[in-house]
Amino acid sequence: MNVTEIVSALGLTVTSEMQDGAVTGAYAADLLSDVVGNAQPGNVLITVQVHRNVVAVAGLVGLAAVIITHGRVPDNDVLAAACDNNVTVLTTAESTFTVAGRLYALGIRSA
Amino acid sequence: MRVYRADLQVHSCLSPCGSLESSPRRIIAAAKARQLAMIALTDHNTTANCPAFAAAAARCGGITPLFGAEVTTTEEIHVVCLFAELATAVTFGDFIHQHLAPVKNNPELFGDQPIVDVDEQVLGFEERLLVGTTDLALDALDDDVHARGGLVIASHIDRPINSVFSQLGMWPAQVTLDACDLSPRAQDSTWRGRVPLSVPFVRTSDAHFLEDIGRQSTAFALAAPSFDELALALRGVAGRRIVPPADCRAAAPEPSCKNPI
Repeated sequence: MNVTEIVSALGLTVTSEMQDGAVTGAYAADLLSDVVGNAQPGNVLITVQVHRNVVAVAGLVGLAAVIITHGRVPDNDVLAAACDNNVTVLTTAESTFTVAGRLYALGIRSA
Repeated sequence: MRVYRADLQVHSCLSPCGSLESSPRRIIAAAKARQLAMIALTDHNTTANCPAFAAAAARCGGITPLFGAEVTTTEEIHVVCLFAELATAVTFGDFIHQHLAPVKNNPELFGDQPIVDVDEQVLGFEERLLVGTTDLALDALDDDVHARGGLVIASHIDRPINSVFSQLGMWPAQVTLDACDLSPRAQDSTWRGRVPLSVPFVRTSDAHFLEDIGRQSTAFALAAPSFDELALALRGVAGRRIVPPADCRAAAPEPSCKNPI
C-alpha cells in the first residue's frame, strides 16, 4: 500500500507536498524520542505532535508520511519545512485511536 | 568579579508535589544558610507564591530572589522561566493561568496547593491542577518570556520525561533558550554534543523539599548577584561567566562552618 491509497481511504487532508512512497507499516506516538527509537523507515507516523521537530524526525527515520490527528494543524513554517524536506504531512479530525484502527483494517501493521 | 552561587529552580508548597513545609520564608532561610547568593522560586505553572517569596527575601536580606515558574508546554516540556521583578512574574503568572488546562486538582491524589504569605499563613488554595499542561508551544513560550525580559531554561534535559529530548527527540532549531539544566547524575560531556554550544549548562536543585535546596547549584562570576548579571553570565559576555565546579573550588574555598557540630 502507498501513501495516496491511505489518503483516499481515510479522507486525509494533504497539507504539504505529497511524496507517494510505499508504506511499510505504522507507528503511533507523541514522544519524538520514542519515534526516533522505534519507528521504522517507510512507516506512517500517527501523532498529535505538531512541533517542527516532527519534520526533522520524519526525515531522520525515513517515514513515509506523518498523520496529525485530532484536528491539529502544524504552523505554516512547519509545513514549509515539511515541503523543503520532502516530508508528507497529512491531517485529520479523527483521533489517533481511530486512525490506527482504520489503518489496521486496511491491513497495515506495526513494522 | 566575584563568584556567587545560585539555585535557579526551587518549588514551594504551592507545587502539588512540593513539601508543605516548603514555605517561601523557609526556602529563603534554607538558601541563606547554604550561602546561596541567588535563589529562584519556580512552582509548576504558577507564580502565586512569589509575593511571599519577595517579602521573605526582603525581610531576610543578603539574598537575591528571582521570580518565575516551571511551565509545562503543550509538548509537555518543563521550562523554567525567570524574571527580575515580582510584578513581571505576577503578570506572567496570570498569562500562564489563562493557558493552563482547566482541570481541577484532587488533593488526595496530587496534594494540596496552598498559596501562603510571608508568615506562612494560608491565603487560599489554588484549585486548578498545577501539574497540568498549558496550550503554549515551546517556541511561543520562549518568545513570550523573552518579550517580557525573562530568561528561559530547559529543565532536566537528561530525564526521560518532560524534557526537550524526551518530547522532541532532538534539539529544536529556532528556539533561543538561555540555558539547559542537567540532573545530578548527568555528565556535561554526555550532553554537550547534543546541545548547541551557545546554550550553556546550569545545575539546579529542582528542590521539592527544604533539605534539597542548593543540593545542586551553579556558580557564576558576576559583578553583583543580580538578574541582569546572571543574564550576562549565561551569555558569557562582559567578563561574566559560569564558573565550572573545578575552578569554583579554587576561586571560592568552602566557608568555614560557624556552628560546628
